[in-house]
Amino acid sequence: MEEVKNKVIDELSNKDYEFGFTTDIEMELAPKGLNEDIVRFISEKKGEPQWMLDYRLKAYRHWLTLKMPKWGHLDIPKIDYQDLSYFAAPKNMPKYESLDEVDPELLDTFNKLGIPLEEQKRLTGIAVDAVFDSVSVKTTFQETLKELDIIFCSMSDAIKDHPDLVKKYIGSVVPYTDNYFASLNAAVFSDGSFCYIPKGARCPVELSTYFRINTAGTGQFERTLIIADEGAYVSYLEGCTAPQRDENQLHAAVVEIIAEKDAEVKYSTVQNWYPGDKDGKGGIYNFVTKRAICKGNGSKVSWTQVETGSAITWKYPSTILKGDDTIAEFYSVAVTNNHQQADTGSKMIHLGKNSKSTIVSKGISLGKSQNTYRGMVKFGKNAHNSRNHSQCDSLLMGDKCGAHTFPYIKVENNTGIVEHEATTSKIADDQLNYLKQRGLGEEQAVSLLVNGYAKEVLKQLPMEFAAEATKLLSISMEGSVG
Amino acid sequence: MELIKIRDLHVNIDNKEILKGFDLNINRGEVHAIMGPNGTGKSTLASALVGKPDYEVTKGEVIFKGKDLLEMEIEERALEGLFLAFQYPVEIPGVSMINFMKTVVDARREYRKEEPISPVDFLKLVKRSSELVGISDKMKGRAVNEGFSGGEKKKNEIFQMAMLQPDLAILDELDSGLDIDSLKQVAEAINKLRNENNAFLIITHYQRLLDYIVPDFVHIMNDGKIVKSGDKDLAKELESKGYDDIMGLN
Amino acid sequence: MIDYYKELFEKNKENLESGLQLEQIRQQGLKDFVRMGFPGNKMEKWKNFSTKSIQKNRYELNSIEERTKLDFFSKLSGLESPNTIIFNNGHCSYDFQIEESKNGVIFGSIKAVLAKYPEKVLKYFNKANKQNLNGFNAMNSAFAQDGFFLYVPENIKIDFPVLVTQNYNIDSYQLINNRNIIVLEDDASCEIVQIESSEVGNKAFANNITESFLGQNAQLTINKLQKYLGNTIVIESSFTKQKSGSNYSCNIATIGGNKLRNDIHVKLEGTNCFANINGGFVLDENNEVDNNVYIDHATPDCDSNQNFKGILDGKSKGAFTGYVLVRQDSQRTNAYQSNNNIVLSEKANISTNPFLEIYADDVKCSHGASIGRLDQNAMFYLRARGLSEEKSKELLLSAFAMEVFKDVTNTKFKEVVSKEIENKLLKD
Repeated sequence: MEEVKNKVIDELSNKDYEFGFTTDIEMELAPKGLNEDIVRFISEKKGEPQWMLDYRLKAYRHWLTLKMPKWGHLDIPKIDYQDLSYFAAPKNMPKYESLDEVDPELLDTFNKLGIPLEEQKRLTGIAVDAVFDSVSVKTTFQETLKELDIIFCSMSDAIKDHPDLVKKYIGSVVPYTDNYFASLNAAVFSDGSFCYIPKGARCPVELSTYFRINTAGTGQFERTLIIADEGAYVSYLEGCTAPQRDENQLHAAVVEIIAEKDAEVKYSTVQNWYPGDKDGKGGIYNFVTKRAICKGNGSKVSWTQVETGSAITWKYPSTILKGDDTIAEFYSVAVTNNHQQADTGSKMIHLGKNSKSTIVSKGISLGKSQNTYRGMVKFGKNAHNSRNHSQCDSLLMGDKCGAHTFPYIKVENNTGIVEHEATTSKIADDQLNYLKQRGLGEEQAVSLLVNGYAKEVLKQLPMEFAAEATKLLSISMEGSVG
Repeated sequence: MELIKIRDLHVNIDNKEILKGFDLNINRGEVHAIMGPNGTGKSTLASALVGKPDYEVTKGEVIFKGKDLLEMEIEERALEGLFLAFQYPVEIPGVSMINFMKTVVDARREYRKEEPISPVDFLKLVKRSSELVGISDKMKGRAVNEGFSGGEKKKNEIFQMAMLQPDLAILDELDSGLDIDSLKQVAEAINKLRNENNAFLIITHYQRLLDYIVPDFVHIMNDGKIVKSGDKDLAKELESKGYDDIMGLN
Repeated sequence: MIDYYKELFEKNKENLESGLQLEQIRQQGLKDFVRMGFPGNKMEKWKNFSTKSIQKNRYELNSIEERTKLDFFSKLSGLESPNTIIFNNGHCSYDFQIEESKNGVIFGSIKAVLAKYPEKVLKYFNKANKQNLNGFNAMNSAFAQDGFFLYVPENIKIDFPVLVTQNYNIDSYQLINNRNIIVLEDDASCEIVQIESSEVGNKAFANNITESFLGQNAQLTINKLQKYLGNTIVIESSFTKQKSGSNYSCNIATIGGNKLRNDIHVKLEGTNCFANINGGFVLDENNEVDNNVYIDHATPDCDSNQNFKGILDGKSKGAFTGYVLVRQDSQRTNAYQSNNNIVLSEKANISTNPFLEIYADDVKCSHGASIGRLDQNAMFYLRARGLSEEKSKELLLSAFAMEVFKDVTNTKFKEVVSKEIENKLLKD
């Protein structure tokens, strides 16, 4: 039996990365290195107004005063920030009026990734903003959204077309002073998605951004801003892939979500950046700051993430429950394999009365990977009658990997209730034996149990995404199905 | 002699009215049964009488032994002689049954300006009560209700009742969780404790329990008040015809 | 500030050495202390314990050997033992220095034992606290003055619990560094009851270390009551090393404390060990207690358990950090951590950090933590039986805190603790 198990783990570890191809397309690259001129170059390339450039420069100057955070349970090789290019865009194609203008190579790329940009494929009910390296390629579904006054466009367009909204909200949840990577992002962010759901509107389709890093030697720094005004609802999806390269690539994104009174935002991610090969060579460094604020009373934010990619993940989608009667949720499955390292979790900062939060985190470690849950739950002095329940489970498969749980719970209010539970174990032999007795092979049984283990999180995903995520998980486990 | 008088009782939970003008008189020596479909307010009545927080009395009065019951704190009502056998007794880890009972018995005696019970008398009382209900010594040594089965919890409620000998005992869905043998044993204990000075209010969904504890009066409750009263035969009739028929809903 | 301690060391070097001759250990301690300094709030492990108030005072080295025997026994009700050692302000009281029994047990003040059997003491001194883990540990190594030493030879079981009492009562800023060493050879067993207290006017700062060495199949139980009044600041660090089959049980009842930190380090170095660390703390007013437990599963087939419960009233601050490290080869580890807290007042606050760091796959590790109010259903149940609100509350809180001591077999100790908890709760 040990032998089979080893085989399973071995096969899992050797599972190829499906999205590892590169797209051969002419790119315009900023010269390597980072200085004020580069920040100006990016801003100019994007034709930004002065206030945006000023914001970037402030952020850049602040970044110079910071050091890379070391508190994660991560072994991060030294990153030479001067050896990166901070801007890459498909040459001469800043904006596409119609799909015919899009480089066929590019279209083909997104088709290969299963992202439909063509009109006829828009039946899936998902509006997509595709970001290729540093720029937004195409945002679909515009007309339907326009009817409801919903704005869904690239960040670059939003800066030009909706400067007041951007000015009001950018940096309001994740200020440029927040942390090292957020500061860097604020200085050099290239593009990203912007979405605004006006008062009372329910966004009828899922909004989705698909991120693709293609060019070698570049960093990707998107910035996403989602605003749900009073009583609005939106479900937002984010997917990402990158080609297979021997070098490490940096991805430092910022996502800000604002939920006004009675608004609801559902944010789902399937993170499948290239994780590096089985010897730990290459892969994306995914250092992401995602934060939401339940600003108005009765608002709700729900994060769901399926994390299977990246060489190193440093990411804590968090929610500030500022309003009264607010609800925040965080559901996460993180699978690490080979030499992957993940330090991920959530922060729930309760400030308003009757605020409720839930954290469900499922970690699965294989190969020689290190998988860490790190989370914080804090009840402020005025967070009367607030509640949190956290459940953090870790599954270990193989004796060379690690699973770590670091919860921080701080309560300054005597009317709240916090409950935290966590377990770490391997797959239970009795469950495995039970399934085998029913005729399943070891591989099938393991795969089934792992899917069951992650189910609580997967079922939170929107239907269109759940299938992809389940597929992704079973790909990670595919070796076991044979 | 009148023990409790409930007049036009209205009770809200979360601003929703559950009891809508409930009336009932119980004299010493009587056993009353309240029956009715689920959700008609039977358990609300029990909880409101013992003073459960969040049960807001919006109208009406309850006179218990000549005093205004609704003015009293939870513990005062208990010390005056009102006892509720809980439908779902609470588990209290770490508080041993014996310590709990001793504290409660002494609280009662203090209320009546009596000396604390002597250890010998206390142990006698415990022995007598536990034999009556049929609970084992092991149960007595454990924490209150902790790890007890559903049936053990119910027996434990009646054990406490035997220890405290209240004037009015409200038995809320006593038969749920009890197997038939335990039910008979508990009913027998209650029949032994019945006398001309005390009274019982039995809240039950099924007629089964009333085969063993025969009530003097049976009331049928619907939508927050009593809709029909009768003697023990009403329960039998209910069993054969069903609630809808009896209440004239068909 | 560090310079001040360098001077203090130079000034008192001879005096210190004449008490406990440690030479290199002291020099190394001072060197490490100067290098590390006082731990700051920015350090992860010191987030919940500010050392500012320690840093701002210029502590003198306490050389006042107060010989008066305090009236402890009135407080102990039944904990009296034929094996008793009494410390006042860190110094062993005059009527007890060293006791050797025929079966080879050595028990006494570390000063007395070091003078008579230097090799016995030096064999163990700083062997569990190897690296002077932090500035305070290093400070203790440099300034150690006294403490107790207990040696239990192979196969010997000490029948009566050994009683160690410590009381602080100095109304000036004095520094106390006690070093205790407990050695249990293979198959030895013993129980130690520690009663630690301070008086209202006390200003002394105690920075103590206990090093324990458990041989194969040895059994050590430490039952400790901490009851510090006044402005007492205490840091109690313990380092325990366990050989295979040994069993270590540590139960700490903390009744208040102006500023108290317990650091409990256990290293499981042999297979089939069990470490069982329990703590109950009841805080009010401006009490500040920070409990830290580090368990290192360095070998396979060991079990560990941590169970801490806190009750916080007034403006008190409580913290629990539980750390379980399961190393790569430590298969078949079972580790459990639990920390439950009840917060009674608006101004009190609590942090709980139950950490697991696991590198082996065949393990069962879990933790649970909660912060909440009194169980309102239980309150209602008790009141519906006729108990007053206050009595119900006291009964529930006391049961809540005492639960962590459910495995303690010393019923006298439990009675004393239970009384102390009740008194503390009733005071509010």
